[in-house]
Amino acid sequence: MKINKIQIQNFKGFEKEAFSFNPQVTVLIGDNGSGKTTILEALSFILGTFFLGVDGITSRSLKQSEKRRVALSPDNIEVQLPFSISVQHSLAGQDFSWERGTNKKAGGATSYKDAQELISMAEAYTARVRDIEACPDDLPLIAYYGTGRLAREKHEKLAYAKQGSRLDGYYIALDPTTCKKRFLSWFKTFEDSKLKFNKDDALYVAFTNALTSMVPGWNKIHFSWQEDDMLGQLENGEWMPFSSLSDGYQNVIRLAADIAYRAVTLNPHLGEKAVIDTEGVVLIDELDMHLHPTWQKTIIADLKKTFPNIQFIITTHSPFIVQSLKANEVLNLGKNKLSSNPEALSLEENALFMGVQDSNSTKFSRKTEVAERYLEVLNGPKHLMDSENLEEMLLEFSDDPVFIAKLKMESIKKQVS
Amino acid sequence: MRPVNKGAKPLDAKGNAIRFKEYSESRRYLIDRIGEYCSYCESKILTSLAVEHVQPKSAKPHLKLEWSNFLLACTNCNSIKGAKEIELTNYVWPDIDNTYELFSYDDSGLVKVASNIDVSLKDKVEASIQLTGLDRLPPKQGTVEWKKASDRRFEHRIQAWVTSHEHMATYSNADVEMRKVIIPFVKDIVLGEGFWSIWMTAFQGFPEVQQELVDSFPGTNVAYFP
Repeated sequence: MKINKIQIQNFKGFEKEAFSFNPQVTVLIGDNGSGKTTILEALSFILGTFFLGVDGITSRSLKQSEKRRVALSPDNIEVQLPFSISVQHSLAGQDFSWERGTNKKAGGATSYKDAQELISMAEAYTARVRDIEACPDDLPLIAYYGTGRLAREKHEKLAYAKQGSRLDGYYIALDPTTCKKRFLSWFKTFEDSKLKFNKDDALYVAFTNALTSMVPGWNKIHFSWQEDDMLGQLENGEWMPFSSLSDGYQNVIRLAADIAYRAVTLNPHLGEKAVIDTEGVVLIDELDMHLHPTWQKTIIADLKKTFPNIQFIITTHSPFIVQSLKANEVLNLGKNKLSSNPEALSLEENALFMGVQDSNSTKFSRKTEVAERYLEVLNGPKHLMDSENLEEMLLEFSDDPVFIAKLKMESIKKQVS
Repeated sequence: MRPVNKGAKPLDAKGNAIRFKEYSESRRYLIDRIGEYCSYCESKILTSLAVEHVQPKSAKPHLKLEWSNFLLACTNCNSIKGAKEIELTNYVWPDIDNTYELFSYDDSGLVKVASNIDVSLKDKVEASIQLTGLDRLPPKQGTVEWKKASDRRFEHRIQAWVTSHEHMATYSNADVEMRKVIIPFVKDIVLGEGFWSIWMTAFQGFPEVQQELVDSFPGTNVAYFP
């Protein structure tokens, strides 16, 4: 499933706007109040329509408060109608185009006649999931992670996961306020039955590969019964329990693990490729929450690499994330226009353009500073060379090979002449 | 001009040739296959990389979504080439001919027809140079046009010429061990900044460096570099 385009009319702050999405990743940026989360809400309303055809999974209804209101005077507030959201998307190689809306002032009911084709497809999927003889379909993954996802869960002893349906992969998929640690129970159960019953470990491999691909510095993961927790092995060989990681790490691992868990639950027939082959749409509000800037720089690339067939639609306030993007991966809701590829702009330029004021410790000025110092030491008196390590000066720019190569060539030139 | 091999039509997960619904869908595949460089002027493209239709989509609508008709181009080359109708055999093409041998690069910053090639090819190479304006000089320095010029290809070629020769000089002064250290740095610079042919020309006397450049650029047609 991929969303190409939506048009929103009279939904929250939007009078009438259309947005197109990159098939792989779209990052929404703009000031607070510019409507980033509203677009995610509109998309979740659209995605929820699929669940109208999947029984046992709640769809997402329109809240009365989401109809756009205009204050004509302080005590005269009028609901603006008609409300509608229309969409062009694809699913299993087929293109869909439909609209949901209402003309009624009260209530959350919206018409879904127009979306019948999609709903029928979901019904057919559901029927075939239950039919033991049917050839398994690839189910689309759908999930929405809102800012409430970080709320702490009480630590309880993990229960073993019950043998469930593939459709469990849709459990509370569009509830933005939770990201439960269901994947931990699943992981515990799977590792257990893998050891006890020599169960086929293709899905286990799919899941653990996703996490090690996503988390820099984790070589391996496994479940420890002693700790009742997932452990990751660091580069120095040490094992680190999930619950003792920082919030930033936990946040990303939880997100990645939840997506991977949903993928293997929905599409077990894909085996080791369950995570990389599963298609779908994942919405994430404020991806940068609690995340260290060095990880912010690579997280989009990590997501794309780990989940190559998922379309991510993400909001952020982080210039580090924006700097890591291509021009066609940014959807700017602010007034400033992005003139060129954010990848090619310096951090200050990105920060400035995003309206982020604090750009003191910026990469660009740091680069200039280091390059000047490097050349000064290189061409200066010998005692400078002895006291400063040129190699170490360049370490922090390991992500810019051209910069390093040029300075190294300066130093080599001096040596050979 | 770097000769490239785009390979066969990309396949989907089921092994069938992908039918593009829009030509822009091919962009990612093209980048994977031949790198983020303009197929004509060889600039590294950081902004607005265009899927280039060899036969313009307006003139040959049936080739609009055809893999064989795609290359990548920068905005300058793309817009100069424009919607002009193309007779393929009147030009030489980086995905068809051994274009490395057909063009020459020197300190003038202009791309020229190589001197030692067959007479029958000369007109075609000249036509290719004009097609994307690889022989265009920048406006006179200090004029309004010069201040406004968006076509920076000439300046970038001169820069690449100078840098590549500086590094070549360093390389030729270095001993065997140091040369091994230099090669990967040269590779990183060329990958990051483009102008492969200019660097190939600069390192003419050093086949081991040329080999590294042939191998490290995605999609270089290795058949021409045995």
